[in-house]
Amino acid sequence: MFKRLTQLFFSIREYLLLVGLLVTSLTILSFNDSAAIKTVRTYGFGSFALFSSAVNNIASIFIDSDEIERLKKINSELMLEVNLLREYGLENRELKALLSIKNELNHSLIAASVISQIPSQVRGDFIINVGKIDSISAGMPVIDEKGLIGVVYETTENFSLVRTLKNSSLKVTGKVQKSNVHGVITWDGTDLLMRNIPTTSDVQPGDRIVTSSFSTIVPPSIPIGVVREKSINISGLLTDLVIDPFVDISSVRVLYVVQFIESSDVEGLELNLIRRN
Amino acid sequence: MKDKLHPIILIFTGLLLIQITLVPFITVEFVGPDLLLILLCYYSIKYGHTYGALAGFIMGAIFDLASGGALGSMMFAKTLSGFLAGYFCDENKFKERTFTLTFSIIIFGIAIVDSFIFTLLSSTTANISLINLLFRHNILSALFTAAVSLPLILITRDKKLV
Repeated sequence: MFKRLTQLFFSIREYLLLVGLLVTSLTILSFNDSAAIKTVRTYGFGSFALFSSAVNNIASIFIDSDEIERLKKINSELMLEVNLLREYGLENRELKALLSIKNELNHSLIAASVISQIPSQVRGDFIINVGKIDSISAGMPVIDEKGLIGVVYETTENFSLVRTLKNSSLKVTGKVQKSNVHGVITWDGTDLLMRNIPTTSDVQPGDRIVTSSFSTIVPPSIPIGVVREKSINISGLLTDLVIDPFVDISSVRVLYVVQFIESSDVEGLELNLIRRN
Repeated sequence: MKDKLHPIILIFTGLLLIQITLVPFITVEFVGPDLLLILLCYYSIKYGHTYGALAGFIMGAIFDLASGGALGSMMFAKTLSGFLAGYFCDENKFKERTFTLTFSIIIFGIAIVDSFIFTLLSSTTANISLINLLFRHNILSALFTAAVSLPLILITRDKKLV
């Protein structure tokens, strides 16, 4: 009997090993939100980012990066300002008294470079070369001169992990700028979508989508993209808006972290599904 | 086993740096080659299931840690990929399977499985269109990886990696 069991064990040991390793992987995956695993992850990407940063520094010797970064920063600031002016123009046209709306351009920008990126269709994450030492904290929005890129998710002393719009886990509250229709924007692996918008809403292809004042993560009026098409749900009552993002996230190299301090009152509403650390 | 794992870990560390820092420059719309998978397939075909699964497990763990992503997703995908690639292990046909077009075909098949499993485990939303992803991106990524393996076959043809 024992001999048979031993023979059986040796004949299927490769499969037992495989099952053991797969179960271990799944177990670790299921505990990803625990504090211990988060600490290991933060330490892991922080350590590796040092090497990545060194490789990037060697590559950047041949580029006049200071001048490019300075100009890009000016572009980003102008983008925010132009968009805010556009917002004011629309609001003024509608003759609304808007003096009480708090969306002033008073956030400072911290320049950063992407030092590594994961080519994944559902998990577009960046590691950038600024961290706690540069006053970066989890939850700060990340932009470039064209618009919103994502949100800082984790930070170490010198590096940060950015969860981009092309990450299915990130959900940002946005609005159609022309008609003030609000919705949650998500990445479905192929397209950026604003889901479950009432079919009767005044939304047309070409309309601009910007961040909403309802968002607890990002300041309002940062451009996200334009509506490419409307796809009506089976029920016919709701529509999903397919959005073409302004930023080509896969080719971003230089970006800016916005030092945005959210209102604690608004954060209490928990309109966004991402939580700050 | 320990002696066999040392060289792969050294080559892997170098490739991991290239994968995370330089590969994004040749990535189009998140479709890019997976250099680590090519290495894993090579060693799995050479040493078999057990080695493939263990090497894949270690590679996946290091990749997950280095990339800051969900710990366990790449571990699972690479463990399974390493094990599957081990099915092509045959001492008598090793050269035939690693230094010819057959190697790229094997990589193409394994890359589809690897990419799909990784996508499945990385996604936290139920709304993700996985079938769409499989056809539009995973197959393209697998083709890219298989294409990158072609020049590697020519370069390493007369060189012994281990």
